[in-house]
Amino acid sequence: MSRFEFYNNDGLRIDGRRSNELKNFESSITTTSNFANFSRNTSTNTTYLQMGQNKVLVTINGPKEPTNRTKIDSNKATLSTNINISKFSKVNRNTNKSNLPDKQTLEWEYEITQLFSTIVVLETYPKSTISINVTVLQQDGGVLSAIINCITIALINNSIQIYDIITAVSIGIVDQKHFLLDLNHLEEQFLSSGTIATVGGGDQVSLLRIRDKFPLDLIEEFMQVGLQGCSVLKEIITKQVKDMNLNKLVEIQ
Amino acid sequence: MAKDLVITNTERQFILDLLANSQRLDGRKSLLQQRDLNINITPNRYGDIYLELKRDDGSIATRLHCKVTAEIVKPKDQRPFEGTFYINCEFNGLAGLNFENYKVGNNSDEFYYGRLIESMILRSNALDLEQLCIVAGLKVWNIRVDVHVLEFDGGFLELASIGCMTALLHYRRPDVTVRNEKVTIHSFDEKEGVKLGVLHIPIALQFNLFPLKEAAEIIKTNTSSENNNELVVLDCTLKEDLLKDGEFIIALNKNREIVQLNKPGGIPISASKIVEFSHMALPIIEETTNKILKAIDIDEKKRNKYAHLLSAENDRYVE
Amino acid sequence: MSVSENTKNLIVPGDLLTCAKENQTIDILGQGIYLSFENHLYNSNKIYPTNVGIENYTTKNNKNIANIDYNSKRYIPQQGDYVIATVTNNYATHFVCTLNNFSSTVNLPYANFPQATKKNRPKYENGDLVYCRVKVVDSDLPAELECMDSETGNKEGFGLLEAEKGKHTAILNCSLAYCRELLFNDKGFPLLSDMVKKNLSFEVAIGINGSIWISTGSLLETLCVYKILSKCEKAERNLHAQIIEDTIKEYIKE
Repeated sequence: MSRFEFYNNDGLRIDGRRSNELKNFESSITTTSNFANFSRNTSTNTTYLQMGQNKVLVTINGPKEPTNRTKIDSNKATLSTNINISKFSKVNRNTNKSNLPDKQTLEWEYEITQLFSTIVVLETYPKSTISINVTVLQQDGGVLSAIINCITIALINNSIQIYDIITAVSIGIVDQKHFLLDLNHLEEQFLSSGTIATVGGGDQVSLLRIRDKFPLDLIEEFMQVGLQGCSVLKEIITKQVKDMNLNKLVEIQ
Repeated sequence: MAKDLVITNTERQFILDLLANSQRLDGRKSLLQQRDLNINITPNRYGDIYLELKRDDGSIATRLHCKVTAEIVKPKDQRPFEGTFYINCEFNGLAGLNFENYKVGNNSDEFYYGRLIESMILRSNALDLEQLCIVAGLKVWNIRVDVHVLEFDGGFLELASIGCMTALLHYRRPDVTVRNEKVTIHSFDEKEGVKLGVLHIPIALQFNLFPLKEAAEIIKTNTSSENNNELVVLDCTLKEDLLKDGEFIIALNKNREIVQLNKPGGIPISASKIVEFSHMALPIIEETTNKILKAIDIDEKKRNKYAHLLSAENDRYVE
Repeated sequence: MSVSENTKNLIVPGDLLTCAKENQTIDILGQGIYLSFENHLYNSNKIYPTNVGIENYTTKNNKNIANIDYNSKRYIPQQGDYVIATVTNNYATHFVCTLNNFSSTVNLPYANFPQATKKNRPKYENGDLVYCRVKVVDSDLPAELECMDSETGNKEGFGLLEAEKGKHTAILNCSLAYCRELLFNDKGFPLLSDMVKKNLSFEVAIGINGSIWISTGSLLETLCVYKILSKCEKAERNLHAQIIEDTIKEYIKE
């Protein structure tokens, strides 16, 4: 198949993790120091997430009045996503000269918009827009899952009402029997992989994306591994969010 | 400026009530029933397919035209041994006033579905690109599929995937000979065309979800997975399409391989449901694949009406 | 009047109208007829047909009326038409409604409701259907609708089309000529009466803008009426009885 041994007999992966071990997950909020800046009012906040070697920065603008008046929906807010994958984010610099996003990024934007439209309580912000701006500073495997996780934390951080926490992980499959959780760059390149996002760590799947050939009979196992990973991740996210909010309150006092 | 279609509250309630009672507005009696599919292959041409979805009363709901063209281009620098492949999906004013000519928004459903079909064929190697190489690094075939929607009442994704695969299966490119780096293209009169290398036939299927409860309620009650939270509808009409609240797209081939599995947002569904749908899709896709192969077979026989006269093979006596 | 009232004469743009042939004076011009001022000096105005359709002559209050009955799917507001409008937006003084998809909007001011006061204003949601009448058509302004008889101030059956409790409603979009036939020509086109004769109980509101609102007691009955009305639009008239029978058999007496 390929020259790498993705899962050896000792149950270890290339980077030394176990099959169901997640990468380290660290998030921090309000990374820009000019919090009280005039142009950056309190409704704008940045969130930074480091998931393995993925480095994602999310800014959420809004709820604000839409600049384009035709976009107003008088019943609920409209959500828009903008993903910027920086050219230096990969090992090789992206040689694409145009500044337009590539097609995969556009697909992600579509999916993320659809995903969070049901999770954010849009009815509470009528006649406004919420725009999610994502900047990917460094890419490892599973960027989409990192983006989704970061947006969830950012939404909490911006006190935008959401029904539940969304967690996402990427899953790969080795030799049609071993499932690897939270892929790194090499694994994603050579293995059949997919991304799964669940609501609140339960078994409700909100987003699913498999773009590679994949045996139909393994789908059940795939889901199980994914759900497990998501529920573990949910614990991590809730813990980190609680820690962050604690800091925030202490700061105010 | 094109305004959107307006669905009134009365109509919304009516359609959703009907769906809850397993009735459809166009006369179908089941949520999982698909409309009749017609595959018309234009005679005397290669890779020119018209597809129709017919309503119960015989009128045409959706009509699609798929056309394959091939030309010789220089390959991409990264992949000198591979031909190129491109799908162009176009919804124009013909399909309805809600589509504008030559304008496909980057965040629109059409763009997303078009991309989905392209990656369905490319990423699963359904079309063998290495066979399209003529001179490595210099000349390869560029295969382009144009999908035009001529009439639209839902069901685009399935039809487009069927149309693309039928057109690719049916298409023959002109034969070429390479002698001393000199490439000669033979016309169809000179030499029989060469079929494209289609390795397997992925077909997409879209499951449309209609929530029976409020979205908030579905999200909160994530423990009770046995409860029916949503209705699953196959082959939506345009009106149903506007009312749906989530979708689940699967592309399969006959060899029990998932080629694409997508659930782009929308209301969440339980993992067991996804597994169930995936298995449910297989027989439907097998049926569609057989339909495609049959249509191509019939066309082949029509073209080779006199093949048996020219053949040197004669009836043998088999003991 | 020499022009017979019930000529069924198909006319094409470029033809001469029968009334023009016979030098008949026409006082009121209806749809599909264009008045050209060819010669102001001798006052020899000419009228031309601009649509393919059946020419139609009537006399009302000693005035000759001519119009061409043609079919179309696009509705252009005309004064005095009964229409079903969809509310799409509301402002401080009026609702914004549409009569057709992809066409310009019309206004329904709060003042045009019976017993309108500043405090007492109707609460309609976006996407609701309102049965109303076109009050004013102006080339510079959006057309204005009214939800009452402006002479008497009574409600006159206008207002919100909503499902009463236990009723199921539907809305059907069809061509304009079909709606006109259903609404005005019950003698010559007795489809609705035929349906009632088959023991279908239903309530309809027909808008000239090509919408038919249906309300019955059960979902299947609503679907049945919906199906009959949509099938009969495309079928020949002598097939209607058969369609009604078949559809009732299919949906109700199963």
